[in-house]
Amino acid sequence: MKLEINGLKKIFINSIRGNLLVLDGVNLKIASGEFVSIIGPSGCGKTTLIEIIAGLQQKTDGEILIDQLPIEKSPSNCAIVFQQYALFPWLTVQKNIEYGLKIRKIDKKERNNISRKYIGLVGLNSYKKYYPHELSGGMQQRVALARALANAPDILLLDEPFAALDAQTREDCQRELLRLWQQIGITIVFVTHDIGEAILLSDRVFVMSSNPGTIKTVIDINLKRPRESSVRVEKTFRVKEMNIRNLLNNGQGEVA
Amino acid sequence: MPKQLSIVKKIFRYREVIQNIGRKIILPALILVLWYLVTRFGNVHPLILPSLESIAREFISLIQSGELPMHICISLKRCLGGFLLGSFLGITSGILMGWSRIWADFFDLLINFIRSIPKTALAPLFIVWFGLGDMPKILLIGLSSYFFTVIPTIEGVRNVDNIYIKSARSMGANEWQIMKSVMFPAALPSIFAGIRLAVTTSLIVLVMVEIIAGNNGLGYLLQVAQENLDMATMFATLFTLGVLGYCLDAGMQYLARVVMPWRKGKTLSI
Repeated sequence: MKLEINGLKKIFINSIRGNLLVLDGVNLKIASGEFVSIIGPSGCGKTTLIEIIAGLQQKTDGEILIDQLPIEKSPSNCAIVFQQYALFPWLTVQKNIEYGLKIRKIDKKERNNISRKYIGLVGLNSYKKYYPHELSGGMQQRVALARALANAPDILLLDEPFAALDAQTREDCQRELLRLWQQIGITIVFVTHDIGEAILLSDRVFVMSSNPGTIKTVIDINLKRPRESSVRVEKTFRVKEMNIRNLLNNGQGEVA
Repeated sequence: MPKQLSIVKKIFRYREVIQNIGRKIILPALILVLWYLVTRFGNVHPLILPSLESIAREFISLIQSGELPMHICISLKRCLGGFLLGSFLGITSGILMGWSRIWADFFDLLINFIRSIPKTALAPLFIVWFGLGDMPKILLIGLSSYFFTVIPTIEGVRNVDNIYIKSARSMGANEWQIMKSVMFPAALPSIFAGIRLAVTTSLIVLVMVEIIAGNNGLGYLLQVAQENLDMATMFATLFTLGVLGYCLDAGMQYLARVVMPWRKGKTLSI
């Protein structure tokens, strides 16, 4: 699904500490089936942006269009995956994945079919009866991914999904996400503060600056797919990495 | 091979259970031995401390005559009736008040005012209003159970991590669905903390009201025993109450394990 954002503005209203302009004039266009990352210094409003797209926060001004339709009227839906997994601790892996389907009153047989498919896709077949706390962080995040995908979203929003994982697990998860994206052909908006991760995964990287948050530059990543982690040592990769690092540093002023 | 393994496992678990019971039984057993020695060899008047044999004899004869079972049934009916009524209302209204500030504000003064009055102090009023039957007893127990469950439920609902609500909302859940499928299960651990307090306190309030205004029930039995200086009956009744209270609490803990299977192994509590 094509996602278009024009002049998006978000102000946090606070009568005591004063209003805070978080996002100002955010414009972006994302093609159908594209994988884009949003990168920026912490506090630049990445999470706010993605939560507005997901409908979890209200925008102050501007428009968000999915296939030319305002998001409020659009029949298509977004799914979001959070950094803290946000799996329901009282539901098993299978019930977690079926949650959104149950909310939409899809009957039990159909729910089971869908959850079986996505549990299989993330390779957790033998864990469907487990509770989230019985799984490792990487497995929990895979469940969260399966839960989001089970709702058959048109756009998948990921908010620093792998930030809490160790390096090894993070690489596994990145590989898995790429595989799923290629398999399902979904539009992905991926928020991260890890430059390497953004380049490895994306078609394009949106670099944000803070105070107020706005899109500073868009960088095309013209690396051929499928990408292996060996792509990290290629010259184009490292040049882009340095390029983005400089952009982020300038945006932060003195901070080296 | 796996079958044999499971048998071995079972035996080990069996031994573990025996060990656990063993540890729990040491202290009560010591107290009973001490009691026996004091009443047997010490110079204690049976009006102060009757012998274990006389208590046991009295206990058995009370059961055989059907008197004790009758009083137990009457008391249990009042106790459970009041507890179920009060905790049901406490949990449902607690969820409502935890969820909505408006409802919480609406009930705030009334709830905290009545909560501050000791339930025992309301007994005379309730007896005047509702007589000496089951009604005032059930209502008083209900009132105490209500307050023991409503506050933990409100707190439990208010402390639900926002991320779960966001997560449910992002999957299209409406307010009612969020209340049912997120707030309630997330608040269950603290609801059960309230339920445990409520069930134990129900027994306390029950006995107290039965002592003041009963013509049957375990509290009445105690009061009659006091008037007749019938120490064997008194201790037999106290023993019954202890067992009853223990069973009620154990029942609630068992219920907690059944209702919240995901807590197993996650926290120290279960």
